Amino acid sequence: MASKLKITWQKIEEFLAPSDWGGQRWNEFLSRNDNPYEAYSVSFKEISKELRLLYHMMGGVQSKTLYATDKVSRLSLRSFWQKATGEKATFSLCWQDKRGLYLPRKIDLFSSKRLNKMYYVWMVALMANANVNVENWAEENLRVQNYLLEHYVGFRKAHRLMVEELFKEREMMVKRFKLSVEDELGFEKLVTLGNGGFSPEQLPMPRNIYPFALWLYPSPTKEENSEKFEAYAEEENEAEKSKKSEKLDVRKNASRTDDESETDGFMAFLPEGLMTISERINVDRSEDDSEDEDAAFNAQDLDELSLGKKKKGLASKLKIDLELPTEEIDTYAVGEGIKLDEWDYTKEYYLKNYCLLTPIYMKSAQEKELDHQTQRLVEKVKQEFALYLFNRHTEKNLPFGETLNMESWIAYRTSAVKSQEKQNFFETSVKQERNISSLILADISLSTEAMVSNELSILDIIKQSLFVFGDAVSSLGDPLAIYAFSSVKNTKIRYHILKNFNERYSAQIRGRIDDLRAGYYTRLGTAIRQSTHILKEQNTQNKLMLIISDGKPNDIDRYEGRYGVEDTKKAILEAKKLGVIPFCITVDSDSYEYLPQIFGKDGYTYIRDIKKLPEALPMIYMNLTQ
Amino acid sequence: MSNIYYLEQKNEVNLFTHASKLNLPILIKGPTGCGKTRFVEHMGEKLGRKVYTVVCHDDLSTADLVGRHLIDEKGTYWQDGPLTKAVREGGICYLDEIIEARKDTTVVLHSLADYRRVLPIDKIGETLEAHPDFMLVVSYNPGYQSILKGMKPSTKQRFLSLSFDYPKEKEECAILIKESGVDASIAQKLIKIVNELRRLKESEIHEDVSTRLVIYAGKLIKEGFPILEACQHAIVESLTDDEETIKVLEQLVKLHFEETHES
Repeated sequence: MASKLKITWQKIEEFLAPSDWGGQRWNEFLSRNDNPYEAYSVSFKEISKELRLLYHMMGGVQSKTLYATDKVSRLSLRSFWQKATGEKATFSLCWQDKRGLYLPRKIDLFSSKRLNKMYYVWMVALMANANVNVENWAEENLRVQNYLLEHYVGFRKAHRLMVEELFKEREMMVKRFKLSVEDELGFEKLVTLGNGGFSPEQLPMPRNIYPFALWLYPSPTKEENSEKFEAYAEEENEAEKSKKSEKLDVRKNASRTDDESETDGFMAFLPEGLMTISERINVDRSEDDSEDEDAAFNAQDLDELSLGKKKKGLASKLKIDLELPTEEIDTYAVGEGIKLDEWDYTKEYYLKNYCLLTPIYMKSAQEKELDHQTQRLVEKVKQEFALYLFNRHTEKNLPFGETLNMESWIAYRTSAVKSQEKQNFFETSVKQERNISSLILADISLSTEAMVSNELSILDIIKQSLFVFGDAVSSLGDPLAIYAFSSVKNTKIRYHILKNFNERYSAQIRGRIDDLRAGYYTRLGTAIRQSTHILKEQNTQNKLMLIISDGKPNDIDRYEGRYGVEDTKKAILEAKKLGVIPFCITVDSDSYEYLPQIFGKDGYTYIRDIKKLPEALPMIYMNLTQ
Repeated sequence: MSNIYYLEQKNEVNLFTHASKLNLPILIKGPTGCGKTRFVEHMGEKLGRKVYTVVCHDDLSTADLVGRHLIDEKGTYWQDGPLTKAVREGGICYLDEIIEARKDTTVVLHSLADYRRVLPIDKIGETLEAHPDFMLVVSYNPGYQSILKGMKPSTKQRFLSLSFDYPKEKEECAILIKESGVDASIAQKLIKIVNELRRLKESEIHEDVSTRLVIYAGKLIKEGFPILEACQHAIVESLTDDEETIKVLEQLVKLHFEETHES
């Protein structure tokens, strides 16, 4: 049964032999711009959160991310297309790989907003239930489709309507492609009836099947390429971030084209009339930092962004150069470093002693006094602490106090030997003793160099927050330690000692904080592990680790995307096991995509306006510890 | 035959029975509405022991457990607290959500929870030997521990621990049918929805849907209340206040129960 149904792109290629219809007519068709359903379009952006939740609820892997894609052209069929049209065309497809789900950025396939939205929901439901590793994905599509229609009755009517509308379009396409009408009818039956009433032997030859929008398609990159493919995309994300004004809100489908030969290429179809002619321009990645607005503009408009293979090396080299600290300062490495494990989720085991963490101590820090403005903020926070921070509890049996305690009075009254009873009839509410030590771990990777206003960078604000927080918390007498970190790969994780638990908070410590420079990357998991080791030695009953971060865990090796998230998640679990309570404070507006998985819903908070951080940090501490 | 319905999940009935024979105290951990209290009541009935339940809170004092002097027209007299009553007459003293009580309050349990099994009441100068049928059971929900609350290790280590979670799909379905009387087909769907919602724990919602809530939904449906509305009020709305999330959860419910598209 499986072999009969097996569809491969090669087979589609075989069948799509050069046809005889004229290029001009085809061009007219492709270029038509009159999609009648445009008004009912639904964009990925407006419902991405909803889709993510639905995907997780229906059983999808939590750490996968949802991406909007452009139309994909992925089949090695361009020769055929070029013959037909002189251009290649694209097709909105959905697929998934081990890192994420890829959905079209906009859907206007159907005649109502509801159906267009249902399309997304349907695709996400398919992805949540489909097994990516099944080779025969046509059969897998059918299986999941039938499963969904059986168990989620809410899909039934919508699915029927979507199929009807799609097949109307397909009729036209079948004629254009000179597909076998019989096969097409067979396919229609297959989709509408499921396997019911259709024996596998009777199925139409699947290679004659025109791509079907309600199905999942295999990832456009082969498994062995997917790492690289992802790397490209990530890199691009980085580039986008550094140039926020030119940020593309779509994950460009960075397909790899071979620069040396033009024979290889990709193609796809648009079954339902969503066609435009797509162009290819070469965006020179090695000059990516030039402020070429036109290129960014073009990139957004293009259906596909082609990246030259040979330029990868260049791009990453450039990145390394960029991510050096702006100014080398006098730092002093303490000892030879500490070896720490790292969790490799792909193999599901710890890489023993894989990471080398170097504690760094700033030798020549100047003493620093607070400026007037910060000083005022410190005073304000201290006052607030005094007002709210302490839980009060009632102390009873006092010789004097706020109010009379009936219980002790009755005890006195009922005591047989009154002369031996103390006349302590009062109660009063008093501050509760605190039993908590906190460690702050600040991310000072290069991204914190980004400017928030004309004078202030993210790092400047983090520093100010540490000044305020350090002053305020040490005035409470709660044990406090402050560390900062950055990393380059697993061998160079810099762990700055700003204040350890035994030091007194002083102007010198402020000086160390003030000397911090942004640089390198964020190997968060390793820094958390080291902080856990430090915290667990504390004798207090409660141990709090506050992590200040501005983005995803990432480094220039494979520590990025899901790998980084999974390692950090593991480090957090280890910390919790040892009685440490981790809490993350982030200024990254995309943090909802990955922080809930790492820290849990209550384990982090997002600060919308980073300038509020110095004030917010003590308040967060207060809420956590009262 | 017992009147309180309880479906055993693992080995808890056996453990409880043995513990009661050996005079060992039990600590039950588990999320809200998973059947901790029901289990204790069921065991009380099964073993023929009265259950004294105390719901703990942070103002709970030792006197609330042990007892206090009260005054009436004849003067003062001593009133036993629930713990003292169980110790004196035999029975199960069940302290629900013990973590909410202050640590200095729960210290009074120490001498009862180990081999001594005595309760000193200094106010009336008495040291009570526990009745042979006295049993101490405490419970807490590890989910909503505030950072400064926790059980003192010295208290915790006097108990046999029993971890509860929501029942498996099949069992939970059986419980739902039994408790609410709803049709098996609807019950299966409700349980599937609930399990899908539970996947959001740790990320979007603070608390899981409890078995108790599903039973509420089932009861409403059984009484003829519209299914979607029942799910909305009993399940969706009680999980989160975030409107966006509520909408998504409603959508999921609709996918299970309704032909969503009318055009």
